[in-house]
Amino acid sequence: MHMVNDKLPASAWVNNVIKPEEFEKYLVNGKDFIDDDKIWQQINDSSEPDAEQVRAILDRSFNIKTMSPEDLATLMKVRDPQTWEEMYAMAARIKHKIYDNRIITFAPIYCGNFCVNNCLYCGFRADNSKEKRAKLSIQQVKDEAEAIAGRIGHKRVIAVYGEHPETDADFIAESIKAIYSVSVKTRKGHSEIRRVNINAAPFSVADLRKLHEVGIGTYQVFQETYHHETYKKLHPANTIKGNYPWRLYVHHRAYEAGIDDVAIGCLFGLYDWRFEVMGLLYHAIELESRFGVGPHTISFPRINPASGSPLATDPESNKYLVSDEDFKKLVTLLRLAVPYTGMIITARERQEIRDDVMFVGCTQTDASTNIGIGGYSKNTGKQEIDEQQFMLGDTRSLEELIRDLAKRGVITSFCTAGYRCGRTGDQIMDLLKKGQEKHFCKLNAILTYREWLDDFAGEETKKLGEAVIKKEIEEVKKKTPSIFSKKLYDLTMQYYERISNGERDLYI
Amino acid sequence: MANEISTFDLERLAKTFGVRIWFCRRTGRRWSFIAGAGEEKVLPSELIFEKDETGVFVQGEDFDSQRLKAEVERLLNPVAIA
Repeated sequence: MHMVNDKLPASAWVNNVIKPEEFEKYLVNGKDFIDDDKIWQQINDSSEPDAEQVRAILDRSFNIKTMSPEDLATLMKVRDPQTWEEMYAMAARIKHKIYDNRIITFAPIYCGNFCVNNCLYCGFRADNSKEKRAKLSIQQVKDEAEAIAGRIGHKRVIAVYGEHPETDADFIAESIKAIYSVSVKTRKGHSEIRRVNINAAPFSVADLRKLHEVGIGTYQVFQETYHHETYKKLHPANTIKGNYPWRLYVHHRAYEAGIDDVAIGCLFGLYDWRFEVMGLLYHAIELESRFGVGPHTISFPRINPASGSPLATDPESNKYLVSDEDFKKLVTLLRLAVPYTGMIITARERQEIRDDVMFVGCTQTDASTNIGIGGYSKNTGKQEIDEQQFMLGDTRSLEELIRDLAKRGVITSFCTAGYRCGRTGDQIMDLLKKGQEKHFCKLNAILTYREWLDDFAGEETKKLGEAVIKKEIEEVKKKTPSIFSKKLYDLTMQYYERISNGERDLYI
Repeated sequence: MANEISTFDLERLAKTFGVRIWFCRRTGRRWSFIAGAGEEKVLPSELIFEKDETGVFVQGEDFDSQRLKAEVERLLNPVAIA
């Protein structure tokens, strides 16, 4: 029996996690908001649209209206490559309209790989005896944060935890505080993690309040698959994760607990990707209608090699693996369907895929990624299959990514301003839907890029970065006073000067 | 101390001072939006009131900042002011 310090043994702990009353109240006539038959009917009943129909749907997206499931199903029927090109272009325009010319970067910190669940596709599953199990101590969490903030220069992390009493809500809250406590002296100033997002198990309202109280950024939980039967097949019934509605309604509980930035996603390759995209849209619509706030971000990881999981690698045994072509389509469809949301593409994907798909609407990505437990402090530069949840496809450093983006004229942003001045929840939804948030994005990207270039960039990167920053400032100047007031422009330039002189963490 | 401002008062202040004003709660580094009034503006956000976990942000140009601060203080700290 695995005893956890002075806490309950893991087997007993499992029985106390799920609180049925915390999701049953949201069911309508005993059913959740994912109607499998209806979704398939919508997909099957739609017919291939002509160019005019497609453009009418795209216009609505461009006006930042959440798409109807019927319209999304219609777009899935497009076969003409030229029409798809129009859709890719529109997805990129929408991203630019809402978030401007910037990509936000972050790093994942894997804090523990103990897990009580047994998901058939996951390297962390309890029955995987090949996995080396570990949990960071609070000091080790700090060490990781120091390496990420001080050596790489990230300002955002997503802390990742398995579902286990070793990494319960109390531990997560302590680790978040530890990450926020770190500050590292840099070449010209100092660096720290300013936003801690988490990817963790679905918690109860009481546990979520603990996370809210320590100031988490975004609370991210993926449904993995929205298809009920597939979910049941992949998540054994005697596990916590085997309870579909407990997981599906965790974002509802987060809102109840006061957490107003939540993130959804699913693991593509477990079921038909078209169904999953519809599921994500239904999820966004549900959150918007219940709470007035949709998902802060959507993620769309594709299943890839995980320790001992044939589902991830064998096309013979898994007909749902998503091709690169379909992957680009599904990302485009998500951008068009939920135009206001942030979209995350990670280093799971190979570089060439990331470079292509990033430009159909993604807003965030990771770099210098290490998903081993304690990987940043060890800094071996190697991937360890028996310590990781999956293998990375793109191992570029943050500096390499920044350079590649700069060559394409894109500014890398380390902005964490929004949630530091109350641009959260329905406030930020309003700004996003009105296309106003991008103006803040632009200014804060300039300020944080300046910080990173001064503190971390090598000569070549700095040269490329200076050109990007000059172009961005020129654009702001041209839009002053029509978009940016003189007061705002002056303040931004004043902050820029102060940052150049070594002050840090100034934002608009 | 009162720990929030009513929507009615937020709307009144927004109208009177020609600003966007919003009320927040702090948890860690995070200021979470609770309620607000007035038109969104592309202007700097200024924290005009901060006490414990309560904060009030304003966006605006050419408004009487001192008078607005006093009004917010009065609403959030009625006994002390009286």
